[in-house]
Amino acid sequence: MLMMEQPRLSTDVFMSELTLMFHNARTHGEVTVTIKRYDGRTKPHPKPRKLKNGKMSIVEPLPEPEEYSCLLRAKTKDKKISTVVSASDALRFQLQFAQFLRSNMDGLKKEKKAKKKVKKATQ
Amino acid sequence: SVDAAPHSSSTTTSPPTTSKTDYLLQEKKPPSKLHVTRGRKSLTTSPSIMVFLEAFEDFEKAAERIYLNAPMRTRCVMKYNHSNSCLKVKVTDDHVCVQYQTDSQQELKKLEKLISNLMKHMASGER
Repeated sequence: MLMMEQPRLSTDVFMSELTLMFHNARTHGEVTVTIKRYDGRTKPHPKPRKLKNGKMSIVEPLPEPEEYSCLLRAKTKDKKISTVVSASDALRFQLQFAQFLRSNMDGLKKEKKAKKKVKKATQ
Repeated sequence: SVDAAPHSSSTTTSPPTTSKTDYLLQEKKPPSKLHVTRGRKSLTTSPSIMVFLEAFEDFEKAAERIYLNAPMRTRCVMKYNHSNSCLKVKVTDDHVCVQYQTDSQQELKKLEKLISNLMKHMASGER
């Protein structure tokens, strides 16, 4: 099955799509989120190649970015989405993302030791 | 006279021991714990051995070390499975890989802090 490549989403659209992914994966399946640093390049790193006159082409390395950003990808069995978080958005987004993880990954077990102690004290 | 000594060398017919046989005759030492065993070391340069670290502190330190060593190459992958209530986190730069898995809400908070820190650093101007 050929999957259409989705264009890169805006941060807000990405978050809402991600919420949907987590919601749909509650019964079965996994959600994979990947975080990685991005230097904004749109071309691959140039490689030195052999020219017709026998010499190697001069390789100009890609310019160093002024600002790094963060690339986020999310994947389920059916869908793949991605977004880029710039340095200016990073602080706000990181808080939003942390909040999101806490609320969506709620299937994990909670500590029950404290509750047991309270019960024993009241008996 | 009865030869009472069990290790009498006067009437021995066995060939003289060389250094090779000495080693073989020695008691075998218990196997060294350099091998990667399940649930223990996961910090390895071989991509085929992928095991989960036991202690969160180890994972955190290793993850930060990997990232600071190669920030452009490092990625952090989180896999969440709601039906099994399992969260797995992997940090790798394609040479070294560390993984951590948990089913505890408490550990999620620690992981979330680690991931937030990584994200903040990734999108900043620092190298």
